[in-house]
Amino acid sequence: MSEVDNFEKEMNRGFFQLVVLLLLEKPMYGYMIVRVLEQNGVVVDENTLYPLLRRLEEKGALSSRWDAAEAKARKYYEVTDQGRALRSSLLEIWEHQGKAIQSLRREVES
Amino acid sequence: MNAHITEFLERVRPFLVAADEQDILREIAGSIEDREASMPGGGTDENMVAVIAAMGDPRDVAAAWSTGRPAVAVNYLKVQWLLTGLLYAVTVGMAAMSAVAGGSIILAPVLYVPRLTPLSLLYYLLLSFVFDYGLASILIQVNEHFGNRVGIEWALGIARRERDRRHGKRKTADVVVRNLVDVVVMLILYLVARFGVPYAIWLRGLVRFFFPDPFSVPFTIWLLAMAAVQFAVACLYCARNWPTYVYELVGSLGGMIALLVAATLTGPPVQSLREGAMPIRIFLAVFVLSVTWGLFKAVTTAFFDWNAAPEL
Repeated sequence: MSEVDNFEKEMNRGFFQLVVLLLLEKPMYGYMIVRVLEQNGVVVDENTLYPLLRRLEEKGALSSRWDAAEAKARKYYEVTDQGRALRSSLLEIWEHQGKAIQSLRREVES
Repeated sequence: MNAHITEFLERVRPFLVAADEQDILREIAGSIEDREASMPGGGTDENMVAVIAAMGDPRDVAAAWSTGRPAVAVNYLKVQWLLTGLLYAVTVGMAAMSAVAGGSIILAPVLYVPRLTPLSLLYYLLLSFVFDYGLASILIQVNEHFGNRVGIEWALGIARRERDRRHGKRKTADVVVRNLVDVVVMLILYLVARFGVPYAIWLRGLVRFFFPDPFSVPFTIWLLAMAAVQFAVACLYCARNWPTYVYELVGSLGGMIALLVAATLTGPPVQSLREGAMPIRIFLAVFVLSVTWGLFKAVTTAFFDWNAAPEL
């Protein structure tokens, strides 16, 4: 694994949390999340996504329920109030860091 | 559920934390089905196999999908109990053979069973369990070090075959009746050995070679002790509604220990064995080995039931 891959992996750790918290305003199951993220240019491995969903659920940021009404029983995840608060904080950090990088780049280029 | 998925989940299951097990397995199953359905051609057997292959090694899948403690650590405990049980099955079996044959047994390089007395038996069973627990720990460490999982897969294979063989068999009073019949048979055998064989010996010298007196009497006492304990366990199994694996485990181990205690208390008929009753020595060895094998299978079945697949 190259240094870039390692760096991307570290960056993705927070990034995936944020996109999941953004996406799950309405209930979705695991594979649906993977597909919607892919359609929006975010490729996430299922072996990464499912543990992340469970960790966020353990922290209280997500809630889940099994829906057995369909042919296949599926576990739907949805963001909680606590998750929304976490999302706001993460978005603030994200935007602040984005602005800081833009500012630094402008300074270096000038 | 598709047989391929079930088989894959069975391979993932031993490496999962018990608390998360059911949830994770259901999600893995759902994920496989969704991925298969989205592939060109839809739900075909080939697509299913391809999706499962893409999931990777079951152990890695379990580790990736778990959020709690490392999956290997949890699996370590389960495997340690399994291995301890298996070693204990062998130890008790060897001790029974030792008591029956009236000498010490060495199974190089790890097992040594001394000639047991009623006093040494008291601490032998306890100490051998502690020893087997420690030995299991060392064996797992060595196994982990060399990354060899063949032994575990082999044991699980036996457990699966046992489960399949027993599939559909329900707990009924037949178990109690069957064990009661065993007790009655042993009583009859005792009476025959006690009163019939001496009469037969008096009539025909050839019988002495196969059934040397006083060998038959203690031998039937040992079997009677074993059958009686198994009968008691069978009664408890039905009355207390125990799981099948508890009955098999407690019944086999309890029966074996009862035989061992009885053999130690009555003492081995060394004199008779030295007189040349080789067929009986072979029979005894085969008998004890078969009971040990039964105990071994009970342990593996217990392990399988203990980690029973959740309702999916």
